[in-house]
Amino acid sequence: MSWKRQFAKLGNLFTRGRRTADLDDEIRSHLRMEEQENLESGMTPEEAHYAALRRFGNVTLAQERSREMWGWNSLEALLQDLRYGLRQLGRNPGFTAVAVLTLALGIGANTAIFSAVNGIWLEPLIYARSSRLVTADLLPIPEIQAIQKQSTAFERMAIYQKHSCLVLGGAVPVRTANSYVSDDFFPLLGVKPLLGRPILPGDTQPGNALVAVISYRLWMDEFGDDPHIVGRSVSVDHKPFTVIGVMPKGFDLGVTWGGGNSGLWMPFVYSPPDSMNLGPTSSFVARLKKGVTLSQAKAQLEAISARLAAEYPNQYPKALRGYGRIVTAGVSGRTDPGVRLALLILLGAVGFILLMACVNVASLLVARSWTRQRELAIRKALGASRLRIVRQLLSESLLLAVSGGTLGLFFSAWGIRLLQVIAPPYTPRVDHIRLDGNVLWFTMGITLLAAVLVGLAPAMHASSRRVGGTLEGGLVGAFAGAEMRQSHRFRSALVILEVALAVIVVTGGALMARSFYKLMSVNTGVRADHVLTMHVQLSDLACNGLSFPTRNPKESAVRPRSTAQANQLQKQITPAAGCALANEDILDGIRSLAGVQRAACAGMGPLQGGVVTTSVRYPGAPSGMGLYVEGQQGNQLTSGAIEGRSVTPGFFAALGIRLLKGRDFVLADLNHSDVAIVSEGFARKYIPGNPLRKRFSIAEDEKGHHRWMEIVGVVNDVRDRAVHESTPGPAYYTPFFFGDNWGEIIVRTSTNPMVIVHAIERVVRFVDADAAITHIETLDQIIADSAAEPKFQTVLLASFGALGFLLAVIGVYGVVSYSAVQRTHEIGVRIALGAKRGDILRMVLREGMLLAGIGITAGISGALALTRFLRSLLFEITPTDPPTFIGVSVILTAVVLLASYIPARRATKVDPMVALRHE
Amino acid sequence: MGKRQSRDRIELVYGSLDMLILRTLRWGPTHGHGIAKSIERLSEETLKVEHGSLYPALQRLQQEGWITAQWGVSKNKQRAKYYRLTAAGRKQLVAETSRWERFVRAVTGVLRPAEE
Repeated sequence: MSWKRQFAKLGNLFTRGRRTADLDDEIRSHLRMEEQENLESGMTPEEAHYAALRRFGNVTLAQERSREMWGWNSLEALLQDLRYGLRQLGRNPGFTAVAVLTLALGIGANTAIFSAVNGIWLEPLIYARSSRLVTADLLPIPEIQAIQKQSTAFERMAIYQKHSCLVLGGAVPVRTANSYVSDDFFPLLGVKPLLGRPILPGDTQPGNALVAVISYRLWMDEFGDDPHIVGRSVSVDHKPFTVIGVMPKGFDLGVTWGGGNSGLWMPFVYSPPDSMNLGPTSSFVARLKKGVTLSQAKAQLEAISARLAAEYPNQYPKALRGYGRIVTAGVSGRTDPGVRLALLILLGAVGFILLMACVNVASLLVARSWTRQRELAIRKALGASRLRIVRQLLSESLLLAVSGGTLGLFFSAWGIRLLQVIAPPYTPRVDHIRLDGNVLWFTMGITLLAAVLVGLAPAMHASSRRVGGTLEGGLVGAFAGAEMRQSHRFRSALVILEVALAVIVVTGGALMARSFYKLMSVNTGVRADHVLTMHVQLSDLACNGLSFPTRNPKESAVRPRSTAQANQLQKQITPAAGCALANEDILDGIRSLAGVQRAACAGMGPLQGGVVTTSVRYPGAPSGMGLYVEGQQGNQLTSGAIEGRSVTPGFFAALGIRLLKGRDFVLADLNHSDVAIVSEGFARKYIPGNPLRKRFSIAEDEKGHHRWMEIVGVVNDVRDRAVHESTPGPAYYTPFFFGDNWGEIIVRTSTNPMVIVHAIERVVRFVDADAAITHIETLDQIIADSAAEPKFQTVLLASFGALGFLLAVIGVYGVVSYSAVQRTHEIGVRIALGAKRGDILRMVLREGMLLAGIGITAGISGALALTRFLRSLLFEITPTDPPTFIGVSVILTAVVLLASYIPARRATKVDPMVALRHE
Repeated sequence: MGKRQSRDRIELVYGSLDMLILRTLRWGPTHGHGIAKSIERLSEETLKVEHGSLYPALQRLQQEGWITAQWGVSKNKQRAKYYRLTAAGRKQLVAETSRWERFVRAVTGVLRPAEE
């Protein structure tokens, strides 16, 4: 009942004008009736009129009392305050513009960063009830099946296995990730295909037709959004698959777990083995039952795993247990912790910016409230309560914040576009960054927060007893000492706060910038300029010796010299030998091109990592993996990892990796896998003495036998995983097996490498028209990409640092110069009394120095506490890097001193008489 | 109106005006002037109602949902706002009246205990 009444009152607010007129009408009609009666009882018209008025009482009072019945008085007062505030702000357009702009920058930056957090991290995935989804990787299939049978934690479970495959039949041959999924997969995720149908139970029966569901991206990029794609045949790893459906946009994106980034989904056909045979590992995705928590599910899985290990001790080694870690796949599981940390740091930095913007505007308001002494004093004298004055000031800050927030929204729309442009490539869900309902709520929240932060200081200031206490005090004694001192202290506190915040923000930005500079000047161990890399996968035809060089690459590549010859060849040529021939042809062809200095092949491209041998066992790893050195007992690899990579002769020369000892591989090595070249770090760490002709192996079989590799050379260390890898890890190189049907081609050119791409592609197609050529990149580009994330973070944090610096300069200068103007009178008196200009300058500077000192000390303690969160983003620099801290302190001290000096100097130049007359 | 006459009038007990208005409206919709007149008439000119004080009360009663208002034309062909009792108002009137009667009985009992 009561809310109904309140609601009616709210409605009254809007119909107020009409109702007031209505009430006036009614009262008039009442008076007319009374007058009429009086006339009828024999009064003169004049008498009748006054008698009626007397009878009625105070008309205005009746009107006012009646109106009071309608509405919330406080709300009305607020509207009145707002109207008044609007007039006040309109009267000071300069001040208003600066304040609104400052707040808009702060709110806009916060909104933009929050929209990134929202889009990348918070927005739910398109999967049904995605927050209840969990996933686990690297589990043997029998274990998954055991979980399926025994666990009560899940509503539904689906198996998927991630691979990569070669797709032909689209625009160009393309390599993409694909997943084999059980028939529960699509129903579990609850997303309907855009076209066609998902994978159904019938599809997963052995011996059924080969079908595939493709991703939106593959459909767009390779099949030109062909509306008749369903039913079309595509070749996947040279087997014909029929496309049965296309999943909608966003189904394949935005998750770091298994189903993510797949281009195709194919039925997972699995026939259970007779015994507990581990075989390849798989993953599962499942939805937790109502009321089951993640930790309960984890406990169940561990129990099942332990049971299996007890049941099958031989097939189920201890090292495997607990490997399939279950994680939430829904909301928080999809972005990796690194991205989340970076987003949180950005949000923190931008929060400081908003805080600084608020301090700036607050100090402007405090300064202004000083000049408004007279107005406030008059309002107090007219009976305004202190609360009412505070409310008045708060409503002004609310107006400023709301205008700033509105303008900030426009800024943020622009900022979001900028974010999307500079975001590192392959950032998941970057297209999800937009202004949606969540973001608008956030903006509204921080706008109100800004209103409170901005309004608090001036309101506290104004409500203090002294300020505007009496009319005389406000009018006459505007510069009375006590009030002056108090106001001065207030502004000093704001300057200190501003400087402290600036130290924190600027330090963060400077640390990132310095770290990025180090990253860019790091020695990767390779000469990255003029190097082109590409991934080539040969077709089966080429490897079977059926593809021959033809004069015209446009003609069909498959042209056997004659059927008989082809048959003959087919008998002789094994796929491996065919691939080897094709590979050799391709490398020879590339080497013969003008502008090519060197060409080589490798199993993996530079900076993409190699085959990793770790000290940690993982499922599927051959037993006995590790590092064994001839003549030394046992596994040498007790911690960390070593990387292996297969390369052809000329690989080191093409990449500019220096051979320190021994020799490079020669062609003859390619058929023997018993030689190796190791990195300097490898030799230093594992091989005592001269490494040449020593032998090592990376696996030991059950009988303790090894396949020894003899070290024939030592090369310099290379940062092989990514540029920001802190130190290059130990690595070894083995001869590239030419019989593989895929590899990375590395070409060093004498001219711009991208110019030669076309010629190289022609060579490859000449040898094998159906080869898939992907990932054509220059090494410079790869390095830039691998630094894209730190670059993105640096650009943002450094620009926040710069913005913070700018705000600090404006804020400190504004407040200090304002108080200097305030002191023009005082300075005039001092000079009139004989003070030297230098003395006064020194006095002002001493005060500035004190403020800067306190602010910087506070800021450094804050920065020391906060920059440790940056640790994982920083490269070869500690979060407490002394040069950065010292530099920032010196610069900010200089800013404060300059900000104090300029206005003080101006004040001392004023003629003392003028200064004394100054109000 | 002479001075003596006005001294005989009694100021309204706080809150009782609402009840009087509601009671007046029991006989049908009336405008503000009519309400004032009928209170004076029924109390035989004893109760002093400053006409102006009716209006805040009328607004309040409307706000509570006990009465509704509508513009109409009076007997003298004048425009006037007519108030009408709602069902909720009728209930309220019964409640107030019985409370008032209890109050009066109690006060009377205190003032004239012997007369019973």
